[in-house]
Amino acid sequence: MVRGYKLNNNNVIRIRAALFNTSTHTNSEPAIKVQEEEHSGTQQPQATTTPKPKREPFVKNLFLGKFDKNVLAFPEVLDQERHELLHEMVVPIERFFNEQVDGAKIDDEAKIPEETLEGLKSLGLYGQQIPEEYGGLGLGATEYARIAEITSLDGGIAVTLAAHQAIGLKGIIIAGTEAQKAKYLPRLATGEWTAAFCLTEPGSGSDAASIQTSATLSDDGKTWTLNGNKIWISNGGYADLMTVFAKTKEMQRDGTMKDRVTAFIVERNYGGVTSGPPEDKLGIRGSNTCEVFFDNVPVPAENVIGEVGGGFKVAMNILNSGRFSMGSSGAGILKCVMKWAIEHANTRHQFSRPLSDFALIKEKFARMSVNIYAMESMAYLTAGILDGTQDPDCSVEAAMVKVFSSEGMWKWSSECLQVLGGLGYTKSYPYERYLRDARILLIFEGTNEILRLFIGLSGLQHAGLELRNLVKKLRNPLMNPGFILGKGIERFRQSKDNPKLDLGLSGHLHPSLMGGAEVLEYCVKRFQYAVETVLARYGLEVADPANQLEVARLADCAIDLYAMTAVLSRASRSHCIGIHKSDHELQLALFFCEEASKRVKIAVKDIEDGPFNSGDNVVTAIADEVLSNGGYVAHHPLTRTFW
Amino acid sequence: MALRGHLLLRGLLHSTLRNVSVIQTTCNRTPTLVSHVRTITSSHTAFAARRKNDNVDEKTSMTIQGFFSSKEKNKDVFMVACDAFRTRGPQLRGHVEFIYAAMKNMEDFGVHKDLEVYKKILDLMPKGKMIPTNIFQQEFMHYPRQQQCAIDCLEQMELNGVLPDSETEMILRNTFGKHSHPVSKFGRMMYWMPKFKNASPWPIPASPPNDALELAQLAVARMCTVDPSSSVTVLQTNTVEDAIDDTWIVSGQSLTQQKLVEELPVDQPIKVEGPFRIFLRDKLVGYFILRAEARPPPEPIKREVVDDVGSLKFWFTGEVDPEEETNLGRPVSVHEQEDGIILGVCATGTSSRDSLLSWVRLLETTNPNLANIPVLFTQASPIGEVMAIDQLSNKSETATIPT
Repeated sequence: MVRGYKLNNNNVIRIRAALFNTSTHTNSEPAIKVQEEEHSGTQQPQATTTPKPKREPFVKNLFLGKFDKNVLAFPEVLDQERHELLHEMVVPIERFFNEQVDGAKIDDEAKIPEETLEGLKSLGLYGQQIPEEYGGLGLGATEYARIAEITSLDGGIAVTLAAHQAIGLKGIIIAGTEAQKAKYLPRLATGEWTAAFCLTEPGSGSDAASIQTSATLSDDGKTWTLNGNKIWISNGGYADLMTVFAKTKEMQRDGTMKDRVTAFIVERNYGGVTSGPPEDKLGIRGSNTCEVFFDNVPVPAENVIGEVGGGFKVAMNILNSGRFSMGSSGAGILKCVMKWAIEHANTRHQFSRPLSDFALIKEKFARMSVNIYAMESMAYLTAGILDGTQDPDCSVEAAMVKVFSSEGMWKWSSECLQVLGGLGYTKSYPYERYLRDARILLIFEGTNEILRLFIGLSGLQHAGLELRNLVKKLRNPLMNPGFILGKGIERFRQSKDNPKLDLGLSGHLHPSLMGGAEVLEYCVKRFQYAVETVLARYGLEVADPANQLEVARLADCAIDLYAMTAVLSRASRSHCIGIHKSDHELQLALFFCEEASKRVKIAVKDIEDGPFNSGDNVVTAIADEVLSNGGYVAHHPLTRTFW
Repeated sequence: MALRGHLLLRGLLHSTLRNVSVIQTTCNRTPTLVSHVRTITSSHTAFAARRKNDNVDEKTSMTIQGFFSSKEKNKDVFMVACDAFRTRGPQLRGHVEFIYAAMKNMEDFGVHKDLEVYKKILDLMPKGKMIPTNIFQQEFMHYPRQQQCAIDCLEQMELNGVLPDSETEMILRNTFGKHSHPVSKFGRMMYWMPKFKNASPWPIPASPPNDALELAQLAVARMCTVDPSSSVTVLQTNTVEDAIDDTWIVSGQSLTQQKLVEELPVDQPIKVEGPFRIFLRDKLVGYFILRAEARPPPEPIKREVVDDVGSLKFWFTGEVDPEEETNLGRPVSVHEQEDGIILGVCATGTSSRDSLLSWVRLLETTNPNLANIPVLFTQASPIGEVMAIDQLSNKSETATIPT
């Protein structure tokens, strides 16, 4: 008997079965149970009956150089029935937006007409993600993203709907009790009541934990009294139900009182809730945005969402769950605007040729196409992970989609306007309206600066947990010789910009995308090196305000990495299943990867060089002088010192 | 592309082709259009005798033929015939013969492109009985005739362009086991067919519309994709006074072509030619073109020294004279070919000379210069005479020229 290995009966039977391909069932019973996912007979395999796999967060692991190759299989979450249902749902919504929504008029009057709102309610768009048992459509993330492509055709309507369901009532769905859901969701689903999300205050915008609106519990413990005011509240002028975040005092173990944030469901008819006049905005003028004042508003104790003191987490969960749809909505608008601009470029003749003959114009449309492709791929990949895995943690991925799409929307709607030249600048064409509507995307739902820090620091936090062990090993070289040797070689190769590409990503993609796979592997390895460099350089100070430039660089790299993964995964699937014009998709994907890798290379080089060589110190120095001067520092060019 | 060649070869050697009009094309054009179903019958397999003059009907028993001998031939009757076969007994004796007969009769019943029907006849095979249970059965094709029958059924699906689905896979796996030949063939079909299905850059819908107007619109739009600034319009002849026919006209013209018409010399006649043929899968559309004589290509620039970069001129400062011979002056559009300049494309409901005349009249609204140019109608057309001589138009500008 070999020590350490014992051949028991189980192993014998298994080996014999494998050798002789013996079926473990008798012949009379069809050997149908070949895989757990498919059932017997001739029925279609159903996606909903299988337990969803549990996966680690993809991007957070990228900070450690761990690449989950499951993501390279672009998710297909809808079965045939839901897919067809979705596409049937899309047709009347598109028709409604094309025929009955007058975007120019909504923008001009800064109001959405009542009949348009009624039309939206009758299409069920007020309850897209509310479960069917409460009267909503019960859509998953993917279907929601698809419909967002259409509803975003008018910015005001898109923001009204999003404020209502993506943030306003999401708290009840995510963290509400059964009683709260049964009480409020049916009315919200039909649109009888509109919801709003009240977090921002004059003194706390990005810093959500510092809100001053307070809620005090009554002596009998049954009512909270709410006092404070909130600004920039979408739907604030007429919302019947608001998710309000207020600070409550919590008794700590050592007897002191600490302020914690709690989420409340507040109905307008509780009394004491007033709204200010609507704000006159640059864009999304159809959406109602105003201040909301709470003056001793009595809120029943059962209206607390989640736990008392757990409101910050609820707020973060709500905001994280709605962000990814900005990718698909941005793609929807850009596709529309691009089509109009191409029509113009094909028909307008200058220098006796159509504009589309000129390479500078061609470049705009090419880069726009690539950007739209990346936006869409990222949005639907995130939606697929949200729908297809159990307890998904896609907060960082959703933030990346939001940052990428908002910046893409702003830039490329501007470029479409540019193609039209003077015509694009006039109000008789819709381009300027789309550009103005796009500007808010960089600000709301978390400003892009905050989200870059969120991406960078979340990843660094996750990486720090594992790298703590790495540091221990590095500090004990004699106990871990093999590890030190391997790490030393890796460090040496990285310093020569030649990391070993051992992830094997090209095995999970179509061979046509091998170039892209290699580029992605290179970027992942360089990114891992950059993360280790940043952590080693700053340690715990990495969250310091002064060191944000490096963290933002890491975030930019991570966004490019995620986008590369999404486009490669989608292009590979398209080509394998034979989608029409899949060769064009391959081209878009490979071009995006080349461009992204150039950006990643430069960013990692800047991180490697350190703040002194990359110019970060100079930037900080210049900014300090300008800020302390209260304005531009350099004297006017016409200044003279002598005659 | 090798597979297409392979399929053609198989088609030539193995299938029974009846009334086929196969147009052989080169690999880089749209694939062959088979106007008839290709059927595989049991007499062409390795396990039956090969007799070229064999009338296939003699091999099928009269009882099996009787299942398909109803006067009404549609999908419901076919499905009922399959259900009726099941009533013969739970052992499904003679299912191979029945399936071959069903495959042969599919086209008569009009269900040869219907996936549900193929699944129904594949489902007629007994489940579980034919799955190999030991290594010898797995190695040597277990139940060879049945496996070959399933393979032939899948082959007929492939030739008719029917894409199977996961339910078909389940049927085959439950019948033959997961490592059998039919399941391997299914795997190959699912690998290749989706890739080829959408390979054409200019796809036509799987079942093109039967309506002549919609077909004409599809055809004209397809031809006009060559110029992105073209537009396809549907006009009516009854808006033209003195029009004899009352029909529709689908006209396709681009801005470039309109500009070319403006620049045409007024003394040279232009011709309306046609009808030419364009196929949309198996439907034929006849179209006409308005053609002017070809212009000579612009002469190359005569320069003293070709590489004299000191003499660079560009438009910004007005240094370049529009009449001067530069390449930027007159780009040659796609409509200017060696055999003529194509000024427009149309398809009409009647394809008669009168409707073409109405087309030219209607074009004059967007091409004012057209009213000054003589238009000729060619008498001969690729498919024979277009109309009778006594219906010649009385307009002075038109004249028939014998070609």
